[in-house]
Amino acid sequence: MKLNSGVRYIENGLKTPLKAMQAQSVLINIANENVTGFDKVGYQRKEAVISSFTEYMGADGISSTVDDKVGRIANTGNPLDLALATKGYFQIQSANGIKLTRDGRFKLDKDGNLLNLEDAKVLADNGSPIKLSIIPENIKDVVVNVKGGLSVFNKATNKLEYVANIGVVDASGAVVITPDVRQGYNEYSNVSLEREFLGMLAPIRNFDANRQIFMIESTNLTKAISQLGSAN
Amino acid sequence: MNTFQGIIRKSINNTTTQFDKMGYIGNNFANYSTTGYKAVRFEQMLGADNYLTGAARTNYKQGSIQITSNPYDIAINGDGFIPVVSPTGEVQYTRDGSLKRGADGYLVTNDDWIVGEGIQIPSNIYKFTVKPDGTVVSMDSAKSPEKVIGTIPIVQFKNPEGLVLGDNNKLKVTDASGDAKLLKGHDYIAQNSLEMSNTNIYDSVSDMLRLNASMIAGLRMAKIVDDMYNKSLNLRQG
Repeated sequence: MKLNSGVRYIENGLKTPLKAMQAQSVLINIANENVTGFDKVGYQRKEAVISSFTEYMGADGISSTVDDKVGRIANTGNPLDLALATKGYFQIQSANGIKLTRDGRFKLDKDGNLLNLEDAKVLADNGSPIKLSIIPENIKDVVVNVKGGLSVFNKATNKLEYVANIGVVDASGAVVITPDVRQGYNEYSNVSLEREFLGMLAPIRNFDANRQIFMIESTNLTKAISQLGSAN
Repeated sequence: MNTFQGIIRKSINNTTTQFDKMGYIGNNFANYSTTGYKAVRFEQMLGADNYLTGAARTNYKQGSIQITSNPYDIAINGDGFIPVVSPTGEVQYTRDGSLKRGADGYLVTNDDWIVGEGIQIPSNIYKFTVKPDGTVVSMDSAKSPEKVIGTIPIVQFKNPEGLVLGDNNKLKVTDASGDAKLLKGHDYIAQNSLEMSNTNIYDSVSDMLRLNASMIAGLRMAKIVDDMYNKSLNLRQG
């Protein structure tokens, strides 16, 4: 609708605040994902990226990137829990191709394959799945050094037998030469709850403000229609 | 999914999953003084669609050994399980060595499952001894020679994490765990002692604090989004 003064009520007065409200809900959604990820091993917080012209594009103008800072590293005592103290990812052979993850909670199956909790194989730095030559009686016999070299203790010879180097790659898939792998630790997320909740205040207020604008414009439009449209 | 409905559902999903995890921690606490209990951790995985799934993982770390001076108390100091047979003939595995003398003198668990292939302890003996390798011997009098009356077997699995929970403090074999393999020539058995649970109170409390924060945050999130949802549904009232 275009009034005589040239103000496009539908375009500027009504659609813009609606788009802004949608955009704020996307920001809230990203904050929600971070809050959900707070207590999850290997979760990396998402950071919203607001592009130019988001006022026209609405929700489509917002994308997210991953904050790759190292999270909180906590001792678990399980020798098959690995944490990366540097940036980088473990490689997992899943049904839908190779996946990158910082979740280092691994286990062994009865054939000696190193698996993650979803039963997908963990890859070595040469790209092949890691399979232990000896199935250890106790998982304590599996030793991983800081460079990611995985060995298993052979009781028959009393020697550590080298198995493979756990593949650690960066986000673009290039091998990290000097990863800092910690055995017996889990990496929790790098989310701080107070930061998420404080960060949410602005989107909430922005949402409220735009809702107010929408309602003012709506009232104005109603008035304009009823007054201009009346015969007397 | 960016809708308010989707955000609320994810928050609730997070909170309920955390609550499940709280249940596992509570269970570990409750079994703090259960003989041979192995703590179970509930591990969550965040799926690609941001919904949570979980898996229970048993921690097979050795529990501490407590001396009880009861000859019927057996502790395993090492890896492995004692196979026990139910009155109906089913075989399961346990690390709970608080045994007793059951019907006909058989060595049984405290819920009457027979240990191993059945070890019958004669009634008129001076004492019986369990050797570190599991051999059970009896003596008729203080000076009489030892007589072998049976063996408490210990079996191991290639993948103990594949075992599933069976009846009372017992585990059942699955395809994932591999078959039971009899362990020979070990010195894992300690008589007159019990293996305590391996629940770590400090870790559990620290887990609980984190869980609490996460649950409160999840619910708070649902509340905030619910407010926004409500407001966007009521755009006409000024």
